[in-house]
Amino acid sequence: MMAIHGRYALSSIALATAFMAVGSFGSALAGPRESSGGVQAKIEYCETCHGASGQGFYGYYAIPRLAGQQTGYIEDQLRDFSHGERHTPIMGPVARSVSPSEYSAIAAHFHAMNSAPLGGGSGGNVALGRDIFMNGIPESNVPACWACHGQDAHGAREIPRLAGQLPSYLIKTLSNWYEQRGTKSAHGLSAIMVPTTHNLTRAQMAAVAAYVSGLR
Amino acid sequence: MKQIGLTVASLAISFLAAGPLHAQQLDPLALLKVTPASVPDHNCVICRPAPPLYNPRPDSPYPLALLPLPPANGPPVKNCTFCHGVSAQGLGVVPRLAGQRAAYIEKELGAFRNHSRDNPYSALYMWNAVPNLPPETARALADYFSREAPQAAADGNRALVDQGRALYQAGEPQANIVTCVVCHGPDAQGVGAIPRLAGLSYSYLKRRLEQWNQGYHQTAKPMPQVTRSLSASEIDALASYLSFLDDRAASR
Repeated sequence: MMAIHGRYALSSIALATAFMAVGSFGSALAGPRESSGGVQAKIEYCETCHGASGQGFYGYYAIPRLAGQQTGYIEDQLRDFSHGERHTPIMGPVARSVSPSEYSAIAAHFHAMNSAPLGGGSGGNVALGRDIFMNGIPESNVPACWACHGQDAHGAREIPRLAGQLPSYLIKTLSNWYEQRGTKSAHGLSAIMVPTTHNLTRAQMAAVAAYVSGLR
Repeated sequence: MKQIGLTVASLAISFLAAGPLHAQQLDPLALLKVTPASVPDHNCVICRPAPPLYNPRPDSPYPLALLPLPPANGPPVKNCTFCHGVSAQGLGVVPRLAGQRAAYIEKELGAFRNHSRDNPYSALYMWNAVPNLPPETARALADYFSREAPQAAADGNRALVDQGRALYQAGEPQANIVTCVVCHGPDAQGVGAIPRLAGLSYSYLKRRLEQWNQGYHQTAKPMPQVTRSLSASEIDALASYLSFLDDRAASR
């Protein structure tokens, strides 16, 4: 047990160092300049991958739906991507190409779009998902999702909307939370997500994804 | 003189058509009334049993080693292989079908049928090829070709490979160029109805990328929007990189 803890501690230090390096590199790049073509060109750039009207897209990777997403969350994530606090090979350089002065306009644009559920099953158990969302899993120390994300899963400010999100994106996010967002979660609002995602089984993740992706 | 020449030629052709001297026509063992078992060291070319056909994909219902002759009850691939090649590896601007995603081939056959894929060669060749293609045959063809082993065309400019790889993997966010990897995958192997790009020919890839900017095939979202930000030299680099990419080797 101690050995495992030791290894985790070591890798956390290594990860933290890596993120700090990436972070300082990122902030050096993200100068206060306007991006080419202005904010409208940037929005079209986002939509190339995130789908027309921000509806998400199933490429080789699931590209999340932005329509209806909370503005605070979108801005927060752009900041985290560009500072290397949320670590993905794709969104880091993308976010660094957006000027922070453009964040709010981009976020407001996608927040206003139609967020009705897209339909299409995910294979998860919807009833189990609803149960986890409403009651958590006490024996696994998993809190009820609605406590933060709201009963309708609309989120608020920096807490993301889950309702209508692509189920495979939700599953991926729950599966790789620590790898992508471990640093931010160490000192932030999302700290609860580290043990929570750790304690969920694959089937439970799929169930939650199936339930919230169908919410309006 | 000319007639004699023709007669000799036709005689030669009929000999060739009849095939080489073969065990079934002139079986020395049958004449001698002995079986190969009684002469264990008998191993002449005529009587040696044919080696088993090599099939690198044993799960395939279509034995690859039989190509270019498809099974009698298989899909009518000859009409496709006239242009796409007997092993469906494509040729220049004619795309390779071997190893292409089945769902993508099927979708494109539909796009030729409803004329939404209106690129010049599509309109010239494919529009006339598909109107009488029943959907189940289209599916069988797509399945058949997707199971053939693809080979990299490797006909691009090798000097541009590094530039192409960088563009493919990361895009150029400052210039609003998205990454290709998000949809086409880390080794350009494609997924579902998103095509495999690895090893397609430079000339085909280049034309396709250019033609979206010229207003063709605008229904293939999001590609018309993706290519809008690409310069001619960037298209050159991407097509070159992909033409050399052997995704099966890369993922091994």
